[in-house]
Amino acid sequence: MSATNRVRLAAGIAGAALIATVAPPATAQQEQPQPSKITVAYKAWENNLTPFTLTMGGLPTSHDLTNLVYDTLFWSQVKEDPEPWLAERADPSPDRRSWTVKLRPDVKWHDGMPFTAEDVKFTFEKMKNTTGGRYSHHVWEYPVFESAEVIDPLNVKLNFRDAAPTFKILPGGDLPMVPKHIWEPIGNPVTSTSTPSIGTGPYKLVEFVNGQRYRLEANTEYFKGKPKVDQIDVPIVTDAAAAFAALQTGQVDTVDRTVPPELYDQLSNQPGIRVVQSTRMESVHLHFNNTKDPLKDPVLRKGITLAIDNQALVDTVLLGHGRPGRDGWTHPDSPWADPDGKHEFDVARANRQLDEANYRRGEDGIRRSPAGQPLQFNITVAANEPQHQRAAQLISQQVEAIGVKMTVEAIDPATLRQRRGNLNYDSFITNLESHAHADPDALSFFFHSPVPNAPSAGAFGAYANPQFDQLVDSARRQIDNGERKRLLVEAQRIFAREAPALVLFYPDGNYAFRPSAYNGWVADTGHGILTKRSFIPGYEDERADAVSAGDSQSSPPWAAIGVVLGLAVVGGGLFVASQNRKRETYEAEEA
Amino acid sequence: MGNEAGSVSTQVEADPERPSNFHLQTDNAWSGLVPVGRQVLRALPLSLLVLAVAICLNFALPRLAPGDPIDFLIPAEQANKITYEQRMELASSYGLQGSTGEQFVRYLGNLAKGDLGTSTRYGAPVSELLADRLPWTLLLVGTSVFLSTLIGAALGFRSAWRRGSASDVRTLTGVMVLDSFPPFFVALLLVLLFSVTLKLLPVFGALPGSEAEGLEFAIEVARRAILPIAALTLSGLGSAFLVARSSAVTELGEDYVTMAAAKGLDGAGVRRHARRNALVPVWTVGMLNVGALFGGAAPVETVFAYPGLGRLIYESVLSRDYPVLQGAFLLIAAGVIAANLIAELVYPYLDPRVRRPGTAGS
Amino acid sequence: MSRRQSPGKILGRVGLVLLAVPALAAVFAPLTARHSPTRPSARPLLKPSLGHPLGTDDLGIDIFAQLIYGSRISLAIGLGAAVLAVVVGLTVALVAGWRRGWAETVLMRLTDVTLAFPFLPLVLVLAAFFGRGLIVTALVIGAVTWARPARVLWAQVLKLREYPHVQAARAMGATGTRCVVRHILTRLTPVTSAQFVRVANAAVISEAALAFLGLGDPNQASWGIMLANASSNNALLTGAWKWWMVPPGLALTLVVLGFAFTGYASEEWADPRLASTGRLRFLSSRRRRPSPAATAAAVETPDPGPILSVRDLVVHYDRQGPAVVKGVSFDVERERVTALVGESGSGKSTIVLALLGLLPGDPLVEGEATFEGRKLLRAAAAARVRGRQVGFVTQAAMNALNPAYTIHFQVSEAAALTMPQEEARRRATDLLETVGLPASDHGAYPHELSGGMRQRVVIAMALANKPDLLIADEPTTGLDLVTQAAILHLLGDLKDRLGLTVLLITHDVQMVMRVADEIVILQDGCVVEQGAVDTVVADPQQDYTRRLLNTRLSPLTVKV
Repeated sequence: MSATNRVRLAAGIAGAALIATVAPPATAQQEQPQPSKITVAYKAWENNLTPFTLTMGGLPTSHDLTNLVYDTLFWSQVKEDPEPWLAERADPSPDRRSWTVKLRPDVKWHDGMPFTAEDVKFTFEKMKNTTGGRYSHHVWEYPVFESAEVIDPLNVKLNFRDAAPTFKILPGGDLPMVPKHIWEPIGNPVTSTSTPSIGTGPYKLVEFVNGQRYRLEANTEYFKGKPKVDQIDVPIVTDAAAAFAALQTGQVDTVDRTVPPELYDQLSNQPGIRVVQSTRMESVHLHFNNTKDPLKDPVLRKGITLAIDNQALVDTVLLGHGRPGRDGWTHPDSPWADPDGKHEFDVARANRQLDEANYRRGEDGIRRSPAGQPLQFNITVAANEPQHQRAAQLISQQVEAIGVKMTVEAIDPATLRQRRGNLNYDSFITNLESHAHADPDALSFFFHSPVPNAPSAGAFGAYANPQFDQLVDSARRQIDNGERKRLLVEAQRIFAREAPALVLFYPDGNYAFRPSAYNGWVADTGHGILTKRSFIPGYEDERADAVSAGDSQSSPPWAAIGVVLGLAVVGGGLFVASQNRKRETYEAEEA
Repeated sequence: MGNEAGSVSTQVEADPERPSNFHLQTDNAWSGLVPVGRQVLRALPLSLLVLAVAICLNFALPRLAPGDPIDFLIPAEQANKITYEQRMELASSYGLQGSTGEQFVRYLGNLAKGDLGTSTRYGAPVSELLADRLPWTLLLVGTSVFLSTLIGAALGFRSAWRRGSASDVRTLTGVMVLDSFPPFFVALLLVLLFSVTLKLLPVFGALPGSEAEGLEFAIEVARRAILPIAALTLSGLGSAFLVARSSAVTELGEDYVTMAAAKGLDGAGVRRHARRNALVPVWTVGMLNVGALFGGAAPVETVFAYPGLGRLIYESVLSRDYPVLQGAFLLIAAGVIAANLIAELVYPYLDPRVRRPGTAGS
Repeated sequence: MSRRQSPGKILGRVGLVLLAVPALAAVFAPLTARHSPTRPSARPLLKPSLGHPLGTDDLGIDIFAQLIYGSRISLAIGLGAAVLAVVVGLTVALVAGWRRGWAETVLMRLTDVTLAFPFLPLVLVLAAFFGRGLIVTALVIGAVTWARPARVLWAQVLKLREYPHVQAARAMGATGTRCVVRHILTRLTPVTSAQFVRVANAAVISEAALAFLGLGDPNQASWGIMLANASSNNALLTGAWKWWMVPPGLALTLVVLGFAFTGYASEEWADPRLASTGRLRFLSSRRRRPSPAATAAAVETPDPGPILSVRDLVVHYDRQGPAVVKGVSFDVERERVTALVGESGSGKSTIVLALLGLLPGDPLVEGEATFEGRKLLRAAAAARVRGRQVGFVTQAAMNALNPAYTIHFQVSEAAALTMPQEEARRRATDLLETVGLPASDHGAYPHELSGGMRQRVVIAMALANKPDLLIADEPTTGLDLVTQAAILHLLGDLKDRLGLTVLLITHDVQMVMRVADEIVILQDGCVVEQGAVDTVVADPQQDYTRRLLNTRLSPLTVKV
């Protein structure tokens, strides 16, 4: 047999072997009444899932896994009156500067040690002394924590510098409790990625492979009941398309990302997959550099935002799966939102305002500021956020109608962070999640004028309006929620008038899963479906309403496909080999 | 991307390092060993120099970019809040404190001790991270280069024997078409066909779910490796094919081929003679591809969520993880140098003229 | 079946056509694309329709328009990067190769270092750091890819430098730029163009890969950006990949293929050896065992009459071409030395190659040749006798021996055709000693031996299987006079001892007069005169013979 034929035969054999190898594995998901294991595709690596280390590397994270491993005093921050969780109750002092928290008695850490008031005190103090980390600022500034006193193992008194009427929400509903006996000896917790992640939550972190996956196992002694799923495997799939492809093929049971608009219809209609709504109160917004000429002028900024058609953005970029943003910043579902808030879209009015304010058009149709600067700006977006890019492109086309030229600039996230910190931009687009909207102090946190030791408002545009400052400062000190809300609403109206930033839209939170693997998902407002409530008994009433009902699971005819393919490969190889043999009938014979 | 981005060279350039007057006079009885050693000695200084430059460049390159790793340890909102002392404190956990000069000296010192530093993104030692990723890269790269060189060379030789015929032109065209598909495009199509449509192979990842042991583990790893290897192999076939073909065609023009036939060898024997000499450039290209593929498989690794070096570099670039970037580049440079060295060392066995330079002039 | 045109020419033309398509699209974009490539013209994510042949993307922009305009970007980047890389590489190569010295050392080390850096990570890092945009991308890619052209061109410059006319120019003192340009630069064109195309190829793919990884410029609708957008919009899962990913993917492939084909043609232009299209028939001949009839025939007493008889042999190298051998007839008598004599180009080697079935390509051979009663020009008859009944000795100078195998191996390989391995090895040892090579040299490689020694090896190879006829084609050309005499002595000695018949092809009349018994004189593919040497030399009948014989006598006139 000639060398070529040998190669062909080898290929045929290899093909057959290949088919044997790819025969369906025995561990495919079967129909099970009581799932013992589910697989969740996760967006990004979050180190060893401790409240200190999960934001290292800075790429967007969702904290969902950390919230399964750790508990907070109350849950969750999105509600106006969060449910008691680790705490049974919290009673304020009359001036709301102190809170006495009574803890549940039956809580243990994953390593068996009891959860006590010492841990609470330690957590607050440690967070305050730690630079970096996502949770710290609700101990640093909103409110400013001062000291804690342990009254007895189940009672602790927390003292704040100013009135903290929303303590139960923040930090109560947000700050995870960490064990003193683990973290006390650690010097710098932000960088200690080898510290075991011990929490009180319904799931324990038992294994992780750097950058690749986590494995969580149920904490069978969880104080709210035994979790319904024994084990959660979490592979890290950074590519959205791969994650959803894996969902479709059954390689994963759910994806911890909102369903992309273009896949919504397809996934909803696919047998074996359900899609439910559960908002994370996510928002995407455009921030101006409020210190730079001519963007310093609120009239100009308002003019620009008047020309931005939020609804069109929702229709195009989100294919309708979202709500247009409002001018007052605060999320419409937030308890602090201005009930009359809306977005004003009026190109004619924009043109009029700009004309009246002396922004004359030049020969090229682009307006000039009174000082002569052409209105040409960059919209800077992160290169790994395609939605932001697309929105920016549409915006740049929309504002042409008022004689403003905005050019999209995509840069890598690290550079964007740096430029935001240095106020080295014209405008940029970024997004935030529920935490930022549920926070009653969000307006103050993001948009208070920069003062020493204030949060880096530069990172959000460095807006500086004394009247606005006064309102939000005053709101912080309010004990009465009603008065607080009134002040915040007024602040929102100033915000809407001056447009230091504009919320473009609130994407819907749609989550897809395979009901045959697990069907107990709860839509936990502000947190999607990968949340504690989905796994512990007692929340069945809140099970997410399915948008589609498709339970039957059709699996492809594995064996048939494998056999056909194998035959094709082998047969094809042999056929070609035979042809070759004929062709190679040696013309040498005729020589 | 696979091999050097769509390379379609047909001729491997005569290695200019070996000028025509290379022959050294040697009468040693054990002259077999010495030139091999000489090869290594010749190649070493260059390799060391490249390594040295690589070390310096590895340090400098990441620092050229705006932004630094400490930014990443702090949420954006707090960036202006943190004081200089606090920044330095954070930086010192990674050996990144001090001026650039101080950092460089520290970097060199640590390197001498074999300490590659700690990743600012993962918090794990860089050597550990690299050790985690390297096997996957080697699995993908090694296997695909091996396969693509084997298949490409076989096809290339086959085409060379039939040079000019319709079969040759068809194969040539076919391989070039295949070579022209961007590797990530091939990867996407493979995923579409085998994972999404046929549901035969997993969509992503390198490791199976946790329970697999022993043989089952090996099979699961193999299943996940098939598509990335296939994508890289298909994209890499072209260069091996073209080099093999052109070098074999060139050899066919040599007199010894005619001589082999004249002395009565059958077709297989004559081809063996030609192939023997045509292998040298194929070997060169194979090793070059190994070197190039070390960090160059990033797009394919992305499509398959494969935890290789290419992907690590990409992510580290985004998060300005200097220690990882330094370490990864160093590893890649070392890998390329090692591949080149191995290539050099094998030459004497492939080409006796290099092994024992002639005593007589030509 | 061989083609008249080399693959390179065919592919080169195809390549140019392939490149012309996107080039034309790039130039005439506004005419062909009805919609804007940057502005929405319809609702997003529409399927293909009459108004939008490839549908719309996620912003409602016409995909077909993006495809057309995308050609501008891909081509611009490809060509821009290639120009940069080649200009830099060429400059480096010229300076390093021409000036040599420390400039060369520095530059080539720099090149090596650049080459040692893996391509993609470097591009990734540079692109991430230095931003986006057409020009930046082209610069970044060019900055990384200049090294390989530099290295290749440098090797070429070194080679060209030693060409006689260049050496002469240098000897006369020309060292300036003009000299370089005139002598070197123009001759570098084929290799330069091959490298240019290569880099352009790599640049186009790199741009697409960068865009796919999210490092492209979103304001440009390049094909890579289209693929990236499609991918981030899950086109693979929604089915939109058919009209959103396949067209730009194919377009990329087309351009890359066009560059590849053109590059291939360029490389053939640079190295004409690659362009040969001759099919070597002997590459596909199969192993033959001598048939019992043949073996039996060999044992029998050979019948009288010439061992080889050629009648009216006509050879065209190419079926359409002219005849190189135009009807030649001669006989080779047993145990005699017959010499085929003629000038270069008279067709003497061709006759022999034709007889042995070693002509490349698709020749037309007519006439008759009989060897030991067997027809030589039919079927695979020649293959049966090659190396066995007929031994072939050729001019060994550089390459008649395979440099990769020892001489002992090459001789025993020949012997193994008719005897088992062990015996073949012993025979090889014997043969090599017979031709005068001591045992200590048997393990040597051809390049370790002198010309004369190599010629002896070739003779040994030819005698391995005890041939009846030895054909020697210019066996002493290229050897010094002393060695020539030694080889001739050896041949004569072997002939006497082994009873060989020798067919000697040569242009050296002196040698003929010394060793040959019969002479056949060829001119321009025809036999001019033939007969016994003494007769012809004493009394040449033809003018041509006379002129041929009137060559300067060499001092060595001793008849061997």
